[in-house]
Amino acid sequence: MRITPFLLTMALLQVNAKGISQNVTYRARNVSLEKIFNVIKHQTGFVFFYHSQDIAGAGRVDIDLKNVPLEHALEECLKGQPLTWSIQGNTIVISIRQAPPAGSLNDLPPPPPPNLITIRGRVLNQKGEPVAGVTVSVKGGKKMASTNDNGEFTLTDVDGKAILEFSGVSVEPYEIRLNGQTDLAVTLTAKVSRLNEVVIVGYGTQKKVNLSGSVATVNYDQEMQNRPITDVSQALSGVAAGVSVSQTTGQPGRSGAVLRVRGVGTLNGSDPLVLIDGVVSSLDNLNPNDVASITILKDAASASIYGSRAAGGVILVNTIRGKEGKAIVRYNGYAGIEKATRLFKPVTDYPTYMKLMNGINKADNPANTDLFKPATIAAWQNATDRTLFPNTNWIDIIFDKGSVTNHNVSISSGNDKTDFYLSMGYRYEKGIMETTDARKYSLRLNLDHKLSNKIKVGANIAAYYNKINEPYDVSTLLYYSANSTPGTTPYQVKNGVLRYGGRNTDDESNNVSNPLQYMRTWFYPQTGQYSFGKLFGQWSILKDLQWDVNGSAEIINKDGKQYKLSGPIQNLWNFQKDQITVNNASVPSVLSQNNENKIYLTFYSTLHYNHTFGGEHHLSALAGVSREYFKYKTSSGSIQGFPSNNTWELNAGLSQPKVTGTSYSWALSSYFSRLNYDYKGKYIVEGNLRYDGSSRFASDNHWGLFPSFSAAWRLSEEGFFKNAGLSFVDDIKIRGSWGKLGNQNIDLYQYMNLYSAGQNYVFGNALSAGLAPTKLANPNITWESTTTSDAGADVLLLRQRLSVTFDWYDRRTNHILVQLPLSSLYGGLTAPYQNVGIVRNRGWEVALSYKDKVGDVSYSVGGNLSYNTNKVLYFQGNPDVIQAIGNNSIIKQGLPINALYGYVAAGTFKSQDDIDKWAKQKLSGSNKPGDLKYVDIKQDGVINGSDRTYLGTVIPKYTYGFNAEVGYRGIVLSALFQGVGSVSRYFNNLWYTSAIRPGREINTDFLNAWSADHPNSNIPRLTNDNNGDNTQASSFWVQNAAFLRLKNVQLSYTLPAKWIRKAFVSGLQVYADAQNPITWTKYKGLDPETGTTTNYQLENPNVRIFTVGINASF
Amino acid sequence: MKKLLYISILFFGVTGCTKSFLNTVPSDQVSDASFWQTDADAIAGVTAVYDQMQRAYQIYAFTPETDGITPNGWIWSGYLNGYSAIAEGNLLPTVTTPVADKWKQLYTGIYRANLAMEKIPGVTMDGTLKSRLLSEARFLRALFYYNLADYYGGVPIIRHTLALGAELPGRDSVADVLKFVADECDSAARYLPASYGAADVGRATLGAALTLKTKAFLLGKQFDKAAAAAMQVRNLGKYTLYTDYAAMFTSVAAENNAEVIFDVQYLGQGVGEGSPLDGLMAPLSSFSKGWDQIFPTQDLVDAYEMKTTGLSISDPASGYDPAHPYDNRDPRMDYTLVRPGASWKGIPYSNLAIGTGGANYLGYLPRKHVLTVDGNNWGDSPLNFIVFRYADALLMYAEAQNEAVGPDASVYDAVDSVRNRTGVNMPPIPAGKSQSEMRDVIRHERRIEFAFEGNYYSDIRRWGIAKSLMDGRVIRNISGQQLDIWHFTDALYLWPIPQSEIDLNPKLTQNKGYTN
Repeated sequence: MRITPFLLTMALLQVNAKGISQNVTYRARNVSLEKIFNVIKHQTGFVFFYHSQDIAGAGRVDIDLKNVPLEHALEECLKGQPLTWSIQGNTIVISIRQAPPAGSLNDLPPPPPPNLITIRGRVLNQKGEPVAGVTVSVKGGKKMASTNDNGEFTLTDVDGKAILEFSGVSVEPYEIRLNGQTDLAVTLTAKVSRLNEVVIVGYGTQKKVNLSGSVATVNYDQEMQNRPITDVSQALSGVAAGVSVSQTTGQPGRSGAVLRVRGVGTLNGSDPLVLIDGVVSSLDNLNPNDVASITILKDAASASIYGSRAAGGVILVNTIRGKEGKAIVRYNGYAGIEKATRLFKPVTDYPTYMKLMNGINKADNPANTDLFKPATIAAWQNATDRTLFPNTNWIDIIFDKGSVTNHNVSISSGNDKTDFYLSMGYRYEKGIMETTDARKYSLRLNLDHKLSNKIKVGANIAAYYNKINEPYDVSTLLYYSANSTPGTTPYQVKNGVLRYGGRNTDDESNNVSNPLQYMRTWFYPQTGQYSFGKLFGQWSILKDLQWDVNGSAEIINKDGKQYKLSGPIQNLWNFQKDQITVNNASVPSVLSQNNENKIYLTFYSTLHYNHTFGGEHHLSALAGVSREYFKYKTSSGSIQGFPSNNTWELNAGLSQPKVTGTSYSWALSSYFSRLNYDYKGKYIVEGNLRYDGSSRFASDNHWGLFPSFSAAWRLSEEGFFKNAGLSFVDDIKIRGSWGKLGNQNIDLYQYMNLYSAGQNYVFGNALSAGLAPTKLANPNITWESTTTSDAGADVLLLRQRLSVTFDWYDRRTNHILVQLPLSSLYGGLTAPYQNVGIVRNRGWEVALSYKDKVGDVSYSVGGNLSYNTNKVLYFQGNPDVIQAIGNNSIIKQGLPINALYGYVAAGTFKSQDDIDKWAKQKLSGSNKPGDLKYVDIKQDGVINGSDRTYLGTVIPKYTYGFNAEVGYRGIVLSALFQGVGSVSRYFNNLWYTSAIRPGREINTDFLNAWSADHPNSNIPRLTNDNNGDNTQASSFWVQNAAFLRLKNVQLSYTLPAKWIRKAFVSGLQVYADAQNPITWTKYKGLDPETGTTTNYQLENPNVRIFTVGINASF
Repeated sequence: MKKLLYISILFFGVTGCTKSFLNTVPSDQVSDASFWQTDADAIAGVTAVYDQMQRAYQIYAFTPETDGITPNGWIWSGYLNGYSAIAEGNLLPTVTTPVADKWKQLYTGIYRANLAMEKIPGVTMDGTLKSRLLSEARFLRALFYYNLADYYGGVPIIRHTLALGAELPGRDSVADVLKFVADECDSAARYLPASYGAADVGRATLGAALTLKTKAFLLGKQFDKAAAAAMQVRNLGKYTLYTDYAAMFTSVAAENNAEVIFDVQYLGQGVGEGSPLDGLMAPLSSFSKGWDQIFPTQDLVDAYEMKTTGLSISDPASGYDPAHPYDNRDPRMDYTLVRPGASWKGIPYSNLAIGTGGANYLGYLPRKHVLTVDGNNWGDSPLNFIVFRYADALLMYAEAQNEAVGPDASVYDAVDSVRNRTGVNMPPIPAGKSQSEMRDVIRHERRIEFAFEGNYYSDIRRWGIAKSLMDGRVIRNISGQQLDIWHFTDALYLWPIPQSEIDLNPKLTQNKGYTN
């Protein structure tokens, strides 16, 4: 038997892991075992090891296998033969079945008679699904059995003290000591051979080892489904190299996640294209519990099959489908609380506030009289009644704890003809703002039916209904929160009547708002209905040729009502004087209601051809067409004057009825093809071509062509490599790609000269309609095109425990559509989009993961890091003309897109002398000590617009994520970190500013601002003057927005199967999860992830969520 | 192979052809191809030119607020920060509001007029109507150019719509622009009717064209021509001074009266055709929750003469009683502003002042352009804004004639007719004034008659006295507390050409005194 290791090695060298599944389908009469083994080898990738003399004696067999697990297939073909089999790694060893030894052993004393028992058991995977085809054997003995479709097995006459071994193709080996148990429930861990991993690609699937483009996959497992995420995009944070996700709001029902693949490629929408089960959609239309897998296509080669809309990358999501076998019912439920990640700290002690305001007022102008009289301040200091003399912290009033509840039930079942997956979900989230909440009911049915061996049909049906409650306008509410003072009482109930507080002293500005009143009397309830249906058919026309037809419709209806309660409830009271200080009782109530309706129709059809020539040349080809049509309709109405606060329907209003509405549509028509060839799985080349026609352009410019090419070389398959003795390397692949993609994300009808209605006037005291163009057309407008070159490598090391992926890319977007500023001499028309501008994103990405198991402890660590630099290479053709975006950012050649731009602050003026000696700085007023001084970059003695310079990028250079997981006997602890580095954010808003006004909150961060008492402070003086020099865009307001966040941490425990089996539960997991629990950042705003684009640059804060949940299967 | 062929045919057969599939057209806008076909299109195209006059800030909607950058008023920043900065002497070419906005909105109006004038000749329609519409557009275009000349000096005269990529012209001289305005008024006057039927009230009339011509000559200091043009307006015989000065600016009922030569028409009623002025000028305590943006100054209050003597309060003989400063003054004071002891909408001054930001700031509140009745939403006032009124024509005549000829009887007559108007009844100007004295009389009369109507800012720049009036002026509230100090440089006689326009069209030269 010494020869065995050698032969084994030889056999391994010939591994051709080209199979796609570990199931076997084969039907033949009178064939040799060798032939069968060959077929199995091709279908599964497993190789056979045997001595040819052993099988020489075996007869020829008849066999009929239809998609059966490998173990079954082996049992079937060795039935009645004097042979047995075992699986060692990727090798199937066939040997002679040994006859019971005879003779000498009989001389030994007989062993004590064992206590023989019959064992019945069931084998499940971690999801609680039965696992068929697992070999159960008695350690050191000969008894073995295989599990059936329900995962059940029976072993008779087993020693009650024996150890049972479980092994199978798809599971990790497992041992259990019987200790007299006769009834077993065993949960096995799925085994993943990374070489066999299959990923979804455009219009199909591919084995990961055979990919030649840059593709990231997300391990969307149970752990992910346990996380309290509202939107699948949140699940992508930190898990894939080159993919960045920012969660821009914590407001219930609003997903707000911004996804970017490899930076920002253009000025016009860099959102990646999302396809759910092959149809363009949005991740917020998806129940996170229904996701089976996610793939991200990052380079042009993999994405170009989606042509004109793939420039921002492509995210492919497949949902869970039913499986043949016994029905599995799963329940996942969790509940928890949520809190803001961070909140502002205002000055809440009113006497302190008043003294500060007086100080500011005097500092502004010594002639100014005190805003707050000493008596008022004293009254507050001495008071005990905090209704009359409040020190209100409005942040505490507005924000509180929220909560979240989620229930999800799914059923997966099927027989040899029909499989289905059914799921229902309910989610409720109460926001951290009192009047915000959202609930969503969702359902899905995925159905597959075989009409015949050649024809398969199916359907995906998904729907949801959601209901969101929020204040009339959240940004106004947040504005009001800053537009108040601690001296205002939230509310008081007097004689059973609720009153909201205004200023309690005449010294205070009468403009102070009461955000609580706004929150509780102004409303914006919204509902949405989503329905999606897709029907598909699949016809295997020939052995190698398959035709797929898909048709789908997505319909979204949304409506919302904005209204406020009217009458005395809108008054603001001075509780000290017991009188109304702002009378709004007679302001008429208004209801505005709006409905919108979107219909999105998709049809696509593909032909797949897949053939292996001469056993070594594998060719696959794809051709397809697709048509997409989108229609949007909206209508809204408003009316004033309601008889009561309970009749919020348009019919109930009295005056000034108003209606508006419009609709638009666009269409896309495409032809596409792909050719993929590999030689022995060693050399892989692929080409894609897509031809897109878009209605967004004039008919001469409808069509665009998007090609791509890629190639890969699996170095590890070469003989020389195998001989080099690098046994720790399992697989090395080097790949390169080039391709062109498009972007058509611009407003519609840009090429047409249009007359807008509504340019009306009044003649004879009656309305007269006027029409005029409001924008200039550009008939030559066409696509933006993005060219990406990518070079990368995928390496598997240390017996597949370590995987490393590296990519370098250069992505260039040409013909960027920009609305170049247009001289007013054209008539003040909105500038047309023109194809000018080039932006380059260049960078690299690396992803690592390591998995292993030591005894009962399994662990894994992984990480990814991406570096991206963004640069505007060409803009407008004139490097001197800059385009200002807002007042603090710029698009300029040589800088990143929307680079922060402004003056460089060099601290504060410490004295008048300091001002006099400094360059003449008069931007919007004359300076005083305590004002920011700016660097005279041009060194001409004057600080003006030309001294502005680049202050930082808002596009992170580094994005990274890392995760770690450790498991021990059903207990799993996992953590995911996410971070960005080298990124800035401009932060100057009502909550963070030195421009103070009476009646506004003051952030405690500014208590150390420059003043006569803090003469060395570099925080500019607080002022309510008109001097805007300090709030000019400058480096003072630019902050480091880098952060590292513990995005998620989860502890779960899967109860041992034997504990729960009697409760009709086949699997039960309990878990606790924390989302965003810890953040490390220097950023002073609410959250480094949230955006800054709300009206008043005030954000609804992001939230931390703590949940506990259970996951059960039946 | 045959099988493959069938499959291909089937495959592409199913997926069909797509030519019309990709031709989507907007459902709520008219395209160039289908517009300018009928007389209704022509009317709608010209209506859009008028519409441009309603634009906020830039053209007429915020014009009265310019009194806040004259000694007449004070703006407490907020919504009108752009104007406050001008008063404080800070006017940069990079400022968007109001500098770039006004420029852009005026050229938008010019573009719409050009478009109408290019397209209407090709429309098959009634010839008289066609000529009239073309003349309306011509008048409006001239009006916009007049405004450009007033604020920016010489500007490029654009007579046709420009195509994308066209070469952009440099500035024409201010004299050329004003000549263009006057010539265009003459052309328009040929087809504009002296008045319209009820349904067309608000359209440009012959009187409007002649008044604009007067203004253009006056701005160009062509006093003889200005006097002649003003006389043409008088000679039309269509206009008289309205009998209720106060109502003219506060009451819908008084709209389109016989004194109005041309105005911006507003409707209110929540149809997007309301004026924002009411909301900006009304006090916070008003029903429509005004914003108290602008306040009359003590300086303006002091400028109102004594009613009986017709003398300035600084004249010891005037009869002014510092203990009762508001008694026996030119009635136009109380028609124009709210002062201590007065009331507004029945609310006594003392109650207005308490708890309202406005009076706290300065002590006076404006009355003009603020409705005296409730019922309108903020920014949706139905009150028309008068651009030209007959009193203006009379005083322009007086000014032009005094400059061209001297203070002859017709000059006295014109000034006195305004002072003596029903409801005002100020004593006539004493005889024997020198040309220079009469000049001062006319300037004073313009300031008082048109206070808070937006004429004064243009007048003091035209007269070259803005710097002496404005530079170093200390703004105090009613109790003497200093609020602001103003500055005025020679550059400020004109606004800068917007820097954004120069960036896009290097042929545009900047006005003197501005750099960036």
